[in-house]
Amino acid sequence: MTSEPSPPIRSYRPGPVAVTLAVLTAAFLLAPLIAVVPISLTPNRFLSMPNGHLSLRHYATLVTDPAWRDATLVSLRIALASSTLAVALATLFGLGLWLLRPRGAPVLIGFVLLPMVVPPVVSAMVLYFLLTGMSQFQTMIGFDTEAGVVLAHTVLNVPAAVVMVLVALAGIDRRIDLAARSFGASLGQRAFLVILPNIRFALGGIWVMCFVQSWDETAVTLFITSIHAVTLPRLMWMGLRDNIDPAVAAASVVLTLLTTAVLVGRILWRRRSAAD
Amino acid sequence: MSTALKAAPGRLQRALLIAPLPLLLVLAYVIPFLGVARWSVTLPRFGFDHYGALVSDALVISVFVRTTRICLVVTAIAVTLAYIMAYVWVRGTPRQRLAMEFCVLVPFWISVLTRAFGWVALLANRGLINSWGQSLGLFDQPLALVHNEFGVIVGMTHYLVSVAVLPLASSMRRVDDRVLMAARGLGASRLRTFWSVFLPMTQAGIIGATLLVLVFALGFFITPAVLGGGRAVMVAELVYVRIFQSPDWGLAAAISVAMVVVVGGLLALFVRFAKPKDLVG
Amino acid sequence: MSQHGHAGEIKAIGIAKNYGPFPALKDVSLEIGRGEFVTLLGPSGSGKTTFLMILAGFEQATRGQILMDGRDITRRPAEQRSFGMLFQGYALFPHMSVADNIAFPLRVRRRPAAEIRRRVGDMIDLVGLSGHESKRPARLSGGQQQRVALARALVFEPEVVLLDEPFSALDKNLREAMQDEVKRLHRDFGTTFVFVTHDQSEALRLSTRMAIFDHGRLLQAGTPREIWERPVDRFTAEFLGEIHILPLDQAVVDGAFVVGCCEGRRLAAPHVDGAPGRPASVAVRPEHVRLLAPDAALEPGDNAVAVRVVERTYLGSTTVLALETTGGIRLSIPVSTLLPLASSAAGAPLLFTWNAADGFVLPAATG
Repeated sequence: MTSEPSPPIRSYRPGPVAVTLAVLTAAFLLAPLIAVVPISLTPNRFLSMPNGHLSLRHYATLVTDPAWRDATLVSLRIALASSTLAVALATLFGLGLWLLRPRGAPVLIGFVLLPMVVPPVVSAMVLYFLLTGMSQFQTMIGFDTEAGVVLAHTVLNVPAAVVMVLVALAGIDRRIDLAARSFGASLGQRAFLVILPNIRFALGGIWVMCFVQSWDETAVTLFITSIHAVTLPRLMWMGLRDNIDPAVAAASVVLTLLTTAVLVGRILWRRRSAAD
Repeated sequence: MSTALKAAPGRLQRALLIAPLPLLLVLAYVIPFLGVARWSVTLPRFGFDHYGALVSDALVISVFVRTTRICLVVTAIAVTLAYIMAYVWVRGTPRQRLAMEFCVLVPFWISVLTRAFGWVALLANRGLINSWGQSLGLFDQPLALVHNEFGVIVGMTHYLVSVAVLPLASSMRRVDDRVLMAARGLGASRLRTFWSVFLPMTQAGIIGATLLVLVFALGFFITPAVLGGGRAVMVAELVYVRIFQSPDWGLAAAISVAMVVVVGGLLALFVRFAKPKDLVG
Repeated sequence: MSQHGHAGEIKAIGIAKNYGPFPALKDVSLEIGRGEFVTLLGPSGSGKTTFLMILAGFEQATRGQILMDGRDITRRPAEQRSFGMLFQGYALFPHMSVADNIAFPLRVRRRPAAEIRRRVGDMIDLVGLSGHESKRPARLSGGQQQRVALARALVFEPEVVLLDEPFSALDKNLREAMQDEVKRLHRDFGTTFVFVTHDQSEALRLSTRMAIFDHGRLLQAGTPREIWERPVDRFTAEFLGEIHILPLDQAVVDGAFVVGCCEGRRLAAPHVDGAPGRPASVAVRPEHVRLLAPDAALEPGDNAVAVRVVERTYLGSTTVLALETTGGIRLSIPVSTLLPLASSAAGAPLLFTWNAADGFVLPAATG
């Protein structure tokens, strides 16, 4: 996130009422994440609390059931491809604006950020239109194909990536680019030897963010997939709608743990690099 | 002294660097959007019937009314809770700050679906609350906590609190400590200082968070679909139903276009009143 | 060591630069000869940095021409001018080691690896950074970072080195050490240096020639001595350092001198042929001033003005005397604390004198 808690000592601390309310809100935020844990350990085939007896059978399902395994692989492939594409496009665009400073930059930026502000369900309609339309000409990229989902997720994630690339570039001292130019560096040399190496960690972070966004994306994916390109969220959705499958709980626990691990890692990494 | 610079690279370089992304978005977003807009007036036949339905069809209107009601309730609750969290996150002790950061960011990064399912696990008939309540003898029949508007409101509030915290926290970070100390020094009580100094100074953040949450809430799809169980259908779910269950693509397209108009209006308010630049960083 | 490279000669002809309606530079012409060390001196907003940026090719002049060894380079982009450049705040590449920073200009020129290694090694020795080769810039002190920036600007033996206020962030002692270092490198490399600063003493200390800028105009160019002793106008005279200025009434040229009247006394200063403007005042640098007892005998050719001591300020080895003429003009002059003069009581009358040949005439302010 762009917002960092600021370090200076505050003399004016929240009182006990505010702290109590904040703790209750925090509990409210964490409750559903924790609630899935006991559900995921139920020995029953239906959504229920384990009464006295715990079982890991639903976790086993995630590993042994080919449907879960395939969905995981599909999601992984899509997330890898779409996050890489989104970062590449956003970087190219941001770098171009930063290096060349064209006159219409604010308008261009506003334009590429559009998909971010449009409600997801409208984006879903738009991409549904696009992909069903493309399916009429060819079978590679279209409705219910992995490539189609990659295209959709790229379009959806690229605005946030652009924002973060622009923020990262704004942190670069322009004089190092002037220096590179005065020493005779070409446009390519400026980009690859000077600017990109200086934002490589930011780019890594942006890539991870895009990966997570694609990995989690549900609303649009439901519109543009059916039975072939079944991502993990799509499979969970199917397991939720009909007869709630406790394997969804197990999957939720695993996903929550992964996300938490990535976030805690990020916080620790930031503290360590801040301490350097 | 200005060091503004003009590079003089070829048109080709410029085109190769900057153009691909806008071009992709024109092809994969703008043109399809125009296609959707065309659907809204041509499916099944040419005319503005669907737009008429938006203001006359009883079902559509009931969905609009429900959506508006839920959005307003959820926005009010979410912004209030978020304000309190942001306050402790920004002004608390280092330990409180870390705890708040964790509690805000972890749910923020977990998918809507997982979170909605978490609420099902808590609120369902055989979920955590009903199991415990019954085994403790608090009530005999399971409470109807989910598959109704209550469940939708709980789930959406949960999602939107973490959305609202970020702009609120960033507007609170801008408040100069010395101003608050000055107010105390001039004899204002804690409550008075909060009420007549801190709250007004974070007004832009409150407006920004409110509009942001409202924009998010309007487009909610997964959470109402999972927690409403078809009994609390909101606009986005109506679009889904009209595409995949009882097809009426023209109506779905018209609703989409209408949503873009409404969200565009809200964003214009956001730009006008919340000074988005103040909320970044 | 002037076998190092070829020193370039730059001619700027009628350079003007507008930012929208705002003129940042107005008709600046300056010749910078081979191997010179030219300082562009002026207050902030005077146009000196804009001029340097136009020389570097980072800015395009609105009008005018830049010639390099007789070739027109006005439209040539910065990356093809091959000027070594030193930036305010150093602009070192934060992700590269010291050695990689210095090697950068050679790498982009695709020189053979062996040559790069040798030249970078030589530069590191020359600026005294041995042992720091593999460190990142952030781990170096300000002075060391400055040396890296210098080495990087010189390693590819550019024909011209441009320096944009490189020392403004350093403290006084370090700044003087770096000034000596730059002077030494200029001597060793024999390259043309163009140096922007707003610090007069730095300019006096370093340059073979100085160019004074104000409000987008080039006011005067010349050796430090010329500009110190014969500034063309009041701004230049005052900007460069301590100076005493007395108004001159009824000024007329009388042989080699301009003669006029100030508070009833006759003052004279050398006449310069073709000097612009109407002579309006006489000026003298403090080092030429002698303070005498009111009844002391004057030598022939001395100017003298009667003053009274207003205040004494003790500054250790010197004491500054604040003086006032009978007409109320304030003058202040440092004297050695050991002299009896330094303990003059407030109100004591003195004669403020200097030899007419050491002063100079300043024209009335124009426009």
